[in-house]
Amino acid sequence: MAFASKLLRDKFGLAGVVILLVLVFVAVFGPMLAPYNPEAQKFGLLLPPSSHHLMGTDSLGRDVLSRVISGTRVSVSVGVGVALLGGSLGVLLGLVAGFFRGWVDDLISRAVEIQWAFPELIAALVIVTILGNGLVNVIIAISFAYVDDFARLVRGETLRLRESDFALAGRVLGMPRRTILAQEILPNALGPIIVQGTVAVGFGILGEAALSFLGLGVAVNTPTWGLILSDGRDFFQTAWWLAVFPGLAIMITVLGTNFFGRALQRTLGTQEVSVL
Amino acid sequence: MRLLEICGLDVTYSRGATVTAVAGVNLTLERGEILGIVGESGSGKTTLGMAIPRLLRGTGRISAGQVVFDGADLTELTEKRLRSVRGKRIAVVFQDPSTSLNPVLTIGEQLAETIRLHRDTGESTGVWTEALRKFAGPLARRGQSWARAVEMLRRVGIPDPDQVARRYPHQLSGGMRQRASIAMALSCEPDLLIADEPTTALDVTVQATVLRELVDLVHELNTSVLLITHDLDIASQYCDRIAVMYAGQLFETGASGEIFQNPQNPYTRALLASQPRLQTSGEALLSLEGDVPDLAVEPPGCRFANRCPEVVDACHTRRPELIRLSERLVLHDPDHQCRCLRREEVPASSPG
Amino acid sequence: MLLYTVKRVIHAAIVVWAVATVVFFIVRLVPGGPVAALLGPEYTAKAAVAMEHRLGLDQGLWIQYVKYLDHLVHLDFGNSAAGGASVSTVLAEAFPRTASLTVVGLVVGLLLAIPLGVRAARQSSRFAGPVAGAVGLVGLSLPTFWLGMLLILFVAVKLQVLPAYGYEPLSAGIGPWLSHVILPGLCLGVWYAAPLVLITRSSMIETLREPYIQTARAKGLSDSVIVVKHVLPNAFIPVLTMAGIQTGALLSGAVVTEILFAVNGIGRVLVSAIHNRDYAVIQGVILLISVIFVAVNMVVDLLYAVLNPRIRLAQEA
Repeated sequence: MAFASKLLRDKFGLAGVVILLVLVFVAVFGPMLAPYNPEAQKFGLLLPPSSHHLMGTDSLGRDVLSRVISGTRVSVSVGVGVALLGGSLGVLLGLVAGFFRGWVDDLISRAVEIQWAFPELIAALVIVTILGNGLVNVIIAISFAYVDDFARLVRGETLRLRESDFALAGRVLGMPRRTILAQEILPNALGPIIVQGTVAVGFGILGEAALSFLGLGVAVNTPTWGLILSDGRDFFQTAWWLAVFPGLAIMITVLGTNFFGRALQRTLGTQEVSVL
Repeated sequence: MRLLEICGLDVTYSRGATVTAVAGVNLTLERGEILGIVGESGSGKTTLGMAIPRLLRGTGRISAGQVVFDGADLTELTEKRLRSVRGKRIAVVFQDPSTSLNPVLTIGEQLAETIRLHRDTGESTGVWTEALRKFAGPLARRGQSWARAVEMLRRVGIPDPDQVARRYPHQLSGGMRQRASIAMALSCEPDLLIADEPTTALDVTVQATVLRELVDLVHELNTSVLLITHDLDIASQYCDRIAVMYAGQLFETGASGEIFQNPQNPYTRALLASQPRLQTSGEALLSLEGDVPDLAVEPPGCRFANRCPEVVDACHTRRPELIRLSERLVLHDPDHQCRCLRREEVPASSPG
Repeated sequence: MLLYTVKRVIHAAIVVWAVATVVFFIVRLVPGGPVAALLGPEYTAKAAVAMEHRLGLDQGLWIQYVKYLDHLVHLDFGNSAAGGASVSTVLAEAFPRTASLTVVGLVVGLLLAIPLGVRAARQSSRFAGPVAGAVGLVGLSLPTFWLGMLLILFVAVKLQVLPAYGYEPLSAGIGPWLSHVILPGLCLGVWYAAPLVLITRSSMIETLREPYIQTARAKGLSDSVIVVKHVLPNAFIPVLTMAGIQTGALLSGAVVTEILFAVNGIGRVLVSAIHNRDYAVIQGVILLISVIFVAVNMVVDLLYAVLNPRIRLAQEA
């Protein structure tokens, strides 16, 4: 509890938590909040924002606000999915590499390095090509890029913690290595992992937006923020609202995760995160 | 004229509350003299040392007093004037040589840059020339400043100084690094050297040797030294005079033999008694109860009152001053001063 | 230093080989295979077999792999399925455009991030700190292409100052080239700069706290000499590392930026190839991008050793 209040006292933490709560709320209650059916093509084409359509309409006559609201759920799911999948895999690899060292470490580190050699979304593009569109495939594709961040972080922490007193005590007591990893090392590395995870959520959302923009996103008919931007690509020069609002949604959301991550980092006092 | 005269020096830090790390210190230092500032950690001795060349970090400020160095009050000088004093006339040796040397520059270069700056070597000291020296390899070793740097390394007893000068700090042992730091500090033959626990971070086996070399060299150069240490034994061995500090105040000052053989202040006595010595093995070490007082609040009486083995009621309500001891309490140094109510001379005009 | 360089080059070569191997297998995993895509509506079992034979796909996997490596070493990436031009030609034509964008992005990013980050660390400036933080955090939260869209809206459409799309090679003159390249370059630059600002600032702050900076002050060195000679070589070590890693973001950011600004660089080529199932091209682009990334980071490693003697000496031991 003291931790929570300390986090909230940090202005970044407060802003981050507020944004994230709003986001979760919209994601969960999306369909009920949207004023119109996001797929209904019955309104005037390319109408500027007005009291009927707070964010205007797009080239097919759909209400942009409704699309943005319903896009929240998918975009956020991708972000969270990327953090969970990339995080789990990366943490596992990092723990194993750091704890067992030797050839296991070499093997894993080389594999992670190969993943690292494919910059960010380049690999995601290819993976989506192979697997096809769809929520799960997109999550898999994007999380590939972030495995190395988690793996390196956790490997470093594991190397450091395996020599700590409580880990050595575990060995002396004859604890199986699995248990030492799970009970002694992992909990102590959790701080930086969680910070990295919040950052990964943000990057997942950005990645989804980019993939959708390229036509390689979740699905051609499910509105995500990236897809709304992509749809508006040919018209936004005259219909500015098609660009501004979905992009603003993305930016505020990712800012929220970054604020939260930064505040988390400050509260926990960790130094290991790669970017913030 | 005395080399250094400190009058009524107060140094404060603001960490939320204002903490007085040094209070009302008066000190003098003659040319060629070695003065030991002795105290535990937190006593303010390092703050005192750093205040003199005005190298206080963070929120540290000299809030009162003067530091008169060779006739000029350092507290009044501009930063620009101070820079021509630092390194050239007042030098510092820091405690931990593994962090006080720049890891990406060679030993020789770190010495040479000081020499170039303060002495006439005919070499350029422009910002970009200096910056490029790091990458210049053999070019950086050509000038006079490098030659003098190597010579200085030889003087502090470093073997093969030409090779050592080309190395980086992490390639040397602790003792060698500290010798190099000493060489760096003395390279411009300063009038005053402030040595902050110069051997504390070294292996015990090396401490005595390095200290001996330091003292020999300063005697050769007739450099005055402010030796900051927590070790009263070291102080009594190498210093001419000693000043004992506690909670930001000087508690006792005098010639080192005098202090060591005839400590008058209860704190000094406790300090001496608590240091382990081979001769006194078998006896329990004296340790004091209680803690150093909170320096944010000025206590009503003596700062040592809550831990003093000789405390009386008056100690809690009256603040003792640092004054000369009466003749009968002094061994051979008439300037032996002490801050303690219980050592104050009874006035001659007492009834009876 | 020489030994260290050799080690790093060999290491990079191995990574490139590993990447090429992964690409080889990945491309063969794509459903449908190149044959179906190439034949399209003319697909018959007989034509498929003939095509497979022509492309060498009916040979054993191992043989294919060896041939593949052999071709790569001779810089032969095969031919594009769409049109039949050699992939090398396609890449050679597209690459200079991408290079222009990324180089401009790199320069803009460095010019933005480094001075701002360095200034932000010094207590003297009030503005630099929060500005650096804002640029950093906001920059990290923006989709690159959205920034592009905003820039197009304001600069190209409202102000009519710069063109909204297209590309002019340098041969057409500096002016036209720059006017087409500056907006996408700016997008990439901001994306590149964001984490760089943050790490420059925090690294500078940390280095300024180090005891050896106190020593430098005690020697009477001027502030400028201290910053340039003592602080920067230490503070820039993590910054350099980040700069290398962020080029990955530059390269992948170039893909979306090229789509938005309609520049026919390798990013656009890649996306078209993906939609057309043109495997040879996909393979070529992926390889090219990875090789560049690995090469850049190898150079970073070398520069790192120049700045920090500990690494160089430790590695040579």
